[in-house]
Amino acid sequence: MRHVHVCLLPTEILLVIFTIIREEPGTRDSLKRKTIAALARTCRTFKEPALDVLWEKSVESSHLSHSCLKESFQEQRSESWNVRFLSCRSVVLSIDWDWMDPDEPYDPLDIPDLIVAFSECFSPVLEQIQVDTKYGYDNESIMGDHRFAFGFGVIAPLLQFSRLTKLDLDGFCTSDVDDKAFKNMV
Amino acid sequence: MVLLVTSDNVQFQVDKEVVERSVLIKNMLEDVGESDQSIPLANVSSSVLKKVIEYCEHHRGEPLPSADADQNQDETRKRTTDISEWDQKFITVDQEMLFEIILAANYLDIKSLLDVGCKTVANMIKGKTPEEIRRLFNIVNDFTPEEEAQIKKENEWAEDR
Repeated sequence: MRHVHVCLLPTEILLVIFTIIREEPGTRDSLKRKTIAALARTCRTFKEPALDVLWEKSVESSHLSHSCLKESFQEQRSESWNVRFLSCRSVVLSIDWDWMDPDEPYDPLDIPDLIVAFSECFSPVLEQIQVDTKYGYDNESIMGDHRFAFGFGVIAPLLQFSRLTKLDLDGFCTSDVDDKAFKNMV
Repeated sequence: MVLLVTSDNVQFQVDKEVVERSVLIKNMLEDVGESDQSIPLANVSSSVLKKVIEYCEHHRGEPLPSADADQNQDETRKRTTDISEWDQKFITVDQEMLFEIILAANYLDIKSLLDVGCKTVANMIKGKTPEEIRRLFNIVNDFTPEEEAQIKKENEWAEDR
């Protein structure tokens, strides 16, 4: 009898097994993600299918907040941290002004930094971006502040993705994403 | 009856109804029509085919998933890691046989058996760390420490929550 090892199973079967772990009802999502992330670190054979299963669904808003990106950007500047979400093809970025520290007013000038940080964290072949903007108690004051008024013309050059098929900037962008500008950008 | 010949050249006479749980064999029989010719199974050894036949015998008469089955039904089937008592007992084999059964089920296209095998492996892995998974399956860590650290960093969001 030949010797069959788990690493000799075809990728399609590993994907089925890892998907079963991800989809199992009754187990906390965090535990399921942890197991799949552990699989990605087990060996080279498991890495790609595990990352595919881990990243198959969009990065949910709870995973990627603007504060997380801000931190990432600051850390990258200091070159001490090099986080990349290279396997991700579709992302939901949640921007919730209510998460801001009330003692430290949000600086609108951070927004270009935020977009640059976002671009640098993902693969240039990212396909879908959805910004989910949640405005809080001072919605009017934020949107009334002209310094927040970023049009698509300002945002587009900061996004470095060549294969975007969907871009939804929600209230993050003061002008519509027109088709022509979008195609030019890509 | 259908005559199956394994990779180690052992012959098995099996009821058509039993063997037709394999979509591969069912299609073969439909294509060839009534014939006394044996069906060679080059990818399945006799010890594995014996187990596969045991499974098919037990599940004889149960409805087969139709080719155009609703995909949602397929997804629901996959999502649960529950395995029936008989199937659990059946699949309590050493790891090598478990992987052989999975490969055979995949080759012969017996979805329900493939599910049982994959769910069993999934249950073995659940909640384990990379080191525990390596120990469980006797896997050599072929990452450099830098590569492993990089993967950990990229997926920290998944491990920390």
